[in-house]
Amino acid sequence: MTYPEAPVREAIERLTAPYQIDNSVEANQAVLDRYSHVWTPDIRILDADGTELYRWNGYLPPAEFAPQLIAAVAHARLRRKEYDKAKELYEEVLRRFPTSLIAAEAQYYAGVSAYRATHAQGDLLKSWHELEKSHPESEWTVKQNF
Amino acid sequence: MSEIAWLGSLDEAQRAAKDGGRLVLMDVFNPG
Repeated sequence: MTYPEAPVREAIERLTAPYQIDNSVEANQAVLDRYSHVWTPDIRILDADGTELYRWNGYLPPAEFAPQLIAAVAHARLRRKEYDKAKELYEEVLRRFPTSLIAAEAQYYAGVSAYRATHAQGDLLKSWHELEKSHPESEWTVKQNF
Repeated sequence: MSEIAWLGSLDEAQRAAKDGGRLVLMDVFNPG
């Protein structure tokens, strides 16, 4: 079980207004169609107006779910142009869960968030150089374009 | 061990998100 674990519960309660929806219930199909639901587990991060800002499919154990959720909210904040909030959350992933599967992506976007906030190229390159060192085999290191 | 206080509907979650400056987490699950 993933949700009862303290780091997962803490991240959900701190960062989100949580809602579970059963895909076997006929009355839920309109909502599920609205979000083009296909497969569970299916996790969405939505704006308060219902706009989807991030999604992922698939089971994650607690040690991966917590950093993935924090990064998901960071992605959502980034898309809302809340760059400082996004950067803070990506850095939380890197600080608390440096070996998690999402860490390389968090490092990549920590740099993007910093750059979007300051427009200082050095902020981007500092984070991306760190990514090269910490995750040389990651797809996110490949995706660096400098 | 305490449990997560899941909200009762998507509308309720959206209202809570708006009031609390948070984002909605929607978890689609299958009980089977």
